[in-house]
This record gives sequence, structure tokens and C-alpha cells, in this order.
Amino acid sequence: MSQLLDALAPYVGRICGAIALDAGDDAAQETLLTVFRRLRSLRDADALHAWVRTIAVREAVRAARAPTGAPIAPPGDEVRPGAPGDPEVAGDVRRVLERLSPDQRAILVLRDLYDLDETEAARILGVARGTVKSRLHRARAVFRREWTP
Amino acid sequence: MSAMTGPWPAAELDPVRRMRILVAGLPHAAFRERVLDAPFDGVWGIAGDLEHGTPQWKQDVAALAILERDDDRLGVEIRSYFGIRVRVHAVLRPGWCVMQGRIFAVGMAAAPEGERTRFAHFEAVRLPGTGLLQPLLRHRIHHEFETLERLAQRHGR
Repeated sequence: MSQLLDALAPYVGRICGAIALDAGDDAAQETLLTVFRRLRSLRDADALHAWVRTIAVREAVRAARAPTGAPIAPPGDEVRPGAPGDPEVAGDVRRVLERLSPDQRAILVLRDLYDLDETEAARILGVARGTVKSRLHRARAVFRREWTP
Repeated sequence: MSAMTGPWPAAELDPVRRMRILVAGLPHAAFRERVLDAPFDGVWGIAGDLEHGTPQWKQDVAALAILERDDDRLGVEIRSYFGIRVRVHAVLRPGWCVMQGRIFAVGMAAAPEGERTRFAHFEAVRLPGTGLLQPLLRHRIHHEFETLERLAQRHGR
């Protein structure tokens, strides 16, 4: 159990951090609580990561949509602890992610971080393929605009 | 080409949050968490010092010996006041310790909360009917927290 938690925590943290931003820690905790409570119901061990990913994405979108009363960090605010790599670049990525909706961030994570196709992304998010396509197009457009010098 | 080229923000869970998750997968675990009125260094100075600290605050542990050590993985022998000796595997990191044997598991986690420390602890026995022991174990843990808090306040003075 402890080893499984060690293995899953960074995986879930990456998904929830990118989608839920400030609510990422809460989303990661809720995801893993659900996973550990339902672990015995998992029939196919090979499907573990896909199963966890689906729960994490849905929980992160839900957490990001929930009103917290906390203001979104303004551009230039501190980078979250734990962001890998160059803090300046990490801060830039975060600032761009803040300009997207939780749904758009979720699609970016599934398509660009995990390389899932549109059909699988649509299944996880419970939307039509066309919706995935249009949201992805808009999200990538924001990124291109922000990253172009 | 991916629109994403830079590093992504990642969520991190402190040891107490991780312990809540671990316990969710152990249906018979007796679990408690509390904010102790002592700094993290004091609390973990006692709780993380398995050989010297554990017998001071765990009511049923008479002695604990580390027999093997490989980075954060330990082989541990625990002797109870009833004379029972058990060998367990443990993982020990700052703010985190989980010990697992054939029939039981024990864990403790600590995270700073301002000048104080959030501390979590569970015990789980994997034998039929031991779920009935939960209220008893939780009651004992409550008293152990009080002992640990007192020791942690004195630690390093």
C-alpha cells in the first residue's frame, strides 16, 4: 500500500497540479482517497494508471470549478513549490494555464502531457469529440500567443 | 508539436495527507490526527527516533531495535510489554514512517502547521475480528498523543 502510494502520488500530483492549480493539493488528496477506497474493486492491474488518471482528471476539474473565494494569483506571483525545472519557465507555464478554463487545462493535460487521442479524452471528460477538438484548439491558441516573442 | 513546452505545475501532498490516503485503503485501521502544541523538530525528534523515542510514547512498545538499514528502508524488531517480538519492514523519512509486518501495520506522519505540528498515527491489525479493537486503539492513541506532545515540548531544551 505504502509503495503504491509512493508510485501514484507524483503521477496524480502532476495531473491535479496542472488542471486544478491552487486547488491541486486538495484534488490530489481526494483522487487518492477515492483510489485507495476502491482499490479492491479494480479487476485488471494493468488498467491501474488509466483508471487513476480518469479519477484524477475529473476530480481536478471539479475542484478547479468549485468556488474557493481565493483569488487567482496575479501574473508575477510566486511559483508553486514543487514545480520542476527552471522556476521562471514554470512560472510562465502556470500564468498561461491560469488564463484557461479548467476544461481547457484538462484537455491540454490529456492530449499534450499524456498523448491520448481525442476519443479517449472525450470519454474521460464526458464530452463529444468535437468539443475536445474545439477546446484544444482554443487552449493551444492561447499558448502560442503567450509564448510567441 | 505540443503547445506545451515548459514544466507543468505539480501538486504535492504533505505526509499527513498521504497518511489519510493510506488509511483509506486499510478498513480496520484505528486512525487519529491532531495538532500538537510543539514544533515539528521537537515532534519528529521523538517520533522519528524509532529506537529511543518510540518506547517513550507508545504504550505497548517496550523496546525497538533497527536491525538493518538501506537508505530509508529498515528492518525493525519490536518487543511488546507482553514479551512478544515481531519483525517488521519500515520506511522512515522526515515526517513519515510506516512499519508493516505479517499481521499488523503502524504508521505516523507529521507536518508543520505554523509553530505547531499536525501529527497522524494509525494502527491496523489484519486478523479476523480485530475491527472490534478499533475504539480501544483509538482511545490509546489519544493518550499517546498527549505523551508525545509533552515529550516534544521538552525535546532539545
